[in-house]
Amino acid sequence: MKKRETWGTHIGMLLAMIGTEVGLGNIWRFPYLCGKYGGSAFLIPYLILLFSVAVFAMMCEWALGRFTRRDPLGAFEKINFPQGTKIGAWGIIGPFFLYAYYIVITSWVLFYAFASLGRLFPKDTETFFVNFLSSPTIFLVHIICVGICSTIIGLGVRKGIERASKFMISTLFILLLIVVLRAITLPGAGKGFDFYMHPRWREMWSLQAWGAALGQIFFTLSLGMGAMIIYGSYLKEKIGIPKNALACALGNTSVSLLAGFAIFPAAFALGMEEVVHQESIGLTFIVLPQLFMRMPFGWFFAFLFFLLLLFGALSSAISIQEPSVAWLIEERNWSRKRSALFTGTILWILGLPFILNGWAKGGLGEKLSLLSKMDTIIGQLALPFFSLLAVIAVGWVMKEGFEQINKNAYYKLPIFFKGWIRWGVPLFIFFLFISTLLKNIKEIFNLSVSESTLLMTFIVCLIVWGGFAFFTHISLKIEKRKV
Amino acid sequence: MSVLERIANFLARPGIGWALVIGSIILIYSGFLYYLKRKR
Repeated sequence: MKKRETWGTHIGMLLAMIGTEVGLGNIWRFPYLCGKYGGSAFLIPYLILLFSVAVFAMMCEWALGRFTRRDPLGAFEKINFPQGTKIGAWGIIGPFFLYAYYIVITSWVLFYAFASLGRLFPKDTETFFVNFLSSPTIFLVHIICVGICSTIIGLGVRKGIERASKFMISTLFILLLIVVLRAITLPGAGKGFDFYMHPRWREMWSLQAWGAALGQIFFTLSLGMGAMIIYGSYLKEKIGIPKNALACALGNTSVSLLAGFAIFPAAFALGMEEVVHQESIGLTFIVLPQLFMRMPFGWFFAFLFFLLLLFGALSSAISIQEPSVAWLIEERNWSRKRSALFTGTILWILGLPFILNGWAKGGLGEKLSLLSKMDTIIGQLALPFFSLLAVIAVGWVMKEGFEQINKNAYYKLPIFFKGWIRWGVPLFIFFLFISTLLKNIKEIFNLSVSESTLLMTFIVCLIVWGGFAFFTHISLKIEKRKV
Repeated sequence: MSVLERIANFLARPGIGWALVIGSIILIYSGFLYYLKRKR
């Protein structure tokens, strides 16, 4: 068997991990949530949940990877997790579907970087975006993005992923700082700065704010997509997991925070306060180009912005493709180049329906319908569920799971956290999964009931049906013994 | 109407979209499990 690769340098490992985490969500969702839920006060629920839940989930995924030194499928099998093959197989297939639509969005970012450089944005940026979705150019940028990811992965863990992450993430920080400096020095930027950072304590205390914070932290840390397990499997034995996990989580939060400093001051300075009500695709591809066009030398700053967004998205996409490549190398004994080429081709084909959808009649809703449906199933529901299983694997199934997290660590987790990892963290992730599920059920079926009613319905059904199943099982077991 | 537009309009129908998304996930996932079972 070939010797397994590990990260070459400590800083390379940290930047690769941060690269996995930093993606589109940092730029297009975090500032919006801050604006909506109390400005800088939102950082309180965000940081509390980051340090008490998400970081532990991340440590568990790293520990599972490092202990088993396998891909997600091999990891669940090696620790003898019940139905480990079926669950582990999802760790290979789930990221495939995630990548298929994520790389399509990445290819839009690549096009927008070129469009900024060529000063192509018209006044009506919405029509520009809608027309782009049904233009042949999208096929070209899509294949370029898939090609970049596959090439980097094909070069290896150290020469490919680590080196590319080092370059992309350090450049991302520099570019973001340049854009922030430009934004905060615009005349009238103070109002935006005030809106973003002035704490509005009352808004912070709503349950929605805490739910939104947990969802944002969870998805921005790239948990539950197999990426952290496979990257964890490349960790050296001497690396202390707790300290490095904290560093990565804070590195990711720094990017999110900086993104807000770039967007809000510029929006208020240039008279586009409506930006604060925008998130995700609408903000990035429709509103921000308008914002940059109003700025002196806006095309240049738009180029820097979309370039840094591209680096964030590509570094995440690489980590999503890696589990399947690692599986082919380890289980099928394929070479890394062949595995990268094969998975790249399959992923390119899987992305085509999302591109074809852009030719549909109607507005953005119709043109992005497939993408939003896949995101509901994979991005919002499957990820927390898989991460929950990874935490259960380390907390309950893996031999000395807690000790594996603390192995060779200078700053060890106190023993109190052993119980927290077993009970507290899974409960929070389960809550996130259920609340996301109910929210989506309400939206998909257009139900005119409140989310609290749905939650109560769920709890009542769980108690009654769960109780029925439990007591039937017990009584059948007793009857069997009597016979 | 071009072939691409016809395919796109078909994909954009709500029922078809959900069927395609859920169907492809089930098909590929169970196909992979079947492959693993046969290979081992």
